[in-house]
Amino acid sequence: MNSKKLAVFLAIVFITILAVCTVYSRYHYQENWPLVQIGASESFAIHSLLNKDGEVRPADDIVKQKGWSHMVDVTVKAEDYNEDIDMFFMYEGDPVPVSLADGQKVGGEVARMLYAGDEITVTVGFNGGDIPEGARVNVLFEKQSALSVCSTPIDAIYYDPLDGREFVYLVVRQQNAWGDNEYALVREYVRFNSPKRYKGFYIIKRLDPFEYPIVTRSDGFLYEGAKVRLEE
Amino acid sequence: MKKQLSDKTRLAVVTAAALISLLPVIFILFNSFMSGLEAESRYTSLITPYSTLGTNNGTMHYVEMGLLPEVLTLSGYKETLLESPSNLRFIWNSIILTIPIVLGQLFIAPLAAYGFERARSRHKEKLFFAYIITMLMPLQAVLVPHFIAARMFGIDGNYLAIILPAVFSPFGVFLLRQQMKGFGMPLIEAANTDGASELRVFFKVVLPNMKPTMIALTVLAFADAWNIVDQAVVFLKNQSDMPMSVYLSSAVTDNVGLVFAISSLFMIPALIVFIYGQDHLAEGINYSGLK
Repeated sequence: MNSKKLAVFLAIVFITILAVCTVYSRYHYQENWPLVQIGASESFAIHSLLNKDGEVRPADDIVKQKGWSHMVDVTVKAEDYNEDIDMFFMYEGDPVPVSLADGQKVGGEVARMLYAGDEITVTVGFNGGDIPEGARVNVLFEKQSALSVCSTPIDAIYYDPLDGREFVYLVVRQQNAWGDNEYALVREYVRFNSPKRYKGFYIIKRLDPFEYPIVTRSDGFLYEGAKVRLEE
Repeated sequence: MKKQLSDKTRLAVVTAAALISLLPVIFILFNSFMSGLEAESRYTSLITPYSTLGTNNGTMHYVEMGLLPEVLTLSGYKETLLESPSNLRFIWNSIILTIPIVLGQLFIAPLAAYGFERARSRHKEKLFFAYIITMLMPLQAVLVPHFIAARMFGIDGNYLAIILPAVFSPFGVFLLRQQMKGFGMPLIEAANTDGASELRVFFKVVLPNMKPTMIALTVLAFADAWNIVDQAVVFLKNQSDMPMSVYLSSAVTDNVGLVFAISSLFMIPALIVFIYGQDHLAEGINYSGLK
């Protein structure tokens, strides 16, 4: 066989193998991927209730711009959570009643929130009239809200061997080069503001299950970037 | 005796130079039989049982280049061919890009070269020079007007934006015209006298005699188009449309375990084309006067 015939023969073999493998792989390549189940979402009523005292200060420029003459900083700590309070669920602009020393109540609002580790410093702005600086007032954080959360079995929570941080695997949908849908895993570190057992489950509060489906069960070894199949 | 020694020395030097040139290819081929785990442990910072040079510095370790794998396996090829349709898509993209470019050049270049050679215009040499000068310009500089033109025609993001400029590459025209210069004019004139049209003369007399140069052009055009990178990066918007030559650079970081098998597969078509044209490559280039 001369070199030209050999080249033509090799070209035909190469194209045939490529075509067969392309067809095969497009329809069968997902069969060996782990089968995973993703968490079902549930809607929880979140009741945020917290009573805190703080010292009155004249409003700084930022708080003043929001129309308040006085402000009080209160720090919400991890130990403030208890069985009755699932989580601190307030945002800037939420109304907060402020009780003055004489029993009078005035309306205020969350003017600023600063996060530092497990603590949140909440600045409440209010109009206190001639209330002296340093006077103690009481603020009541109360909010009723519905939040979609995902109940995740404890087995679905992994621990990073390097630093012990908890994480879950999320399923993200992506398309391969042929435009076929594929599902891959990404690692998402989660933080439990209030780790609480709920019927044998942890309640993961940071992730929206509609946007980020959490893997709750799998029949194979999972790792970051692993391609998976979703259980019907 | 002295001459023999000289020949042996020369042979040894040439063999050593050839081996050095082939080393990357040998390295890729041998490493393609490495398991994905071993490749990842050798060429990434992951600590695995293969990482014998671990430095206890977190998860970092040095790259451990190796010619021979610890365990010979075809798993890289199996995964590339049967379990990674995306990789095959990129090879198909390369084929889809390369074949029209090569065929287009094989169609356009001889006609243009013949036209330049046979035209009776006083300005043909100036025109030819103007055409050829684009060959000397840096590709990156020419890409800008190409990009603007592609956008004007609405073909940016499309393979046509790469194929069309490549089809009219001046290199083939230059190569073939150099050979035509040495072609016997009396033969063409005799054919004309016998009543053959210019096209008939071209296809029946000129083209068959240019076979070695045409094959050389096929090999060179294929190699050029198969390894296309800059044009694809500039013109193609969709990642899944990229040819393998572009994808390989990201595969090095995204999929080290498979990169050697993919590279080996990617080399095969170029090797086949070289086998096809090897008898004529040197001959064709010699005919054209390029050495």
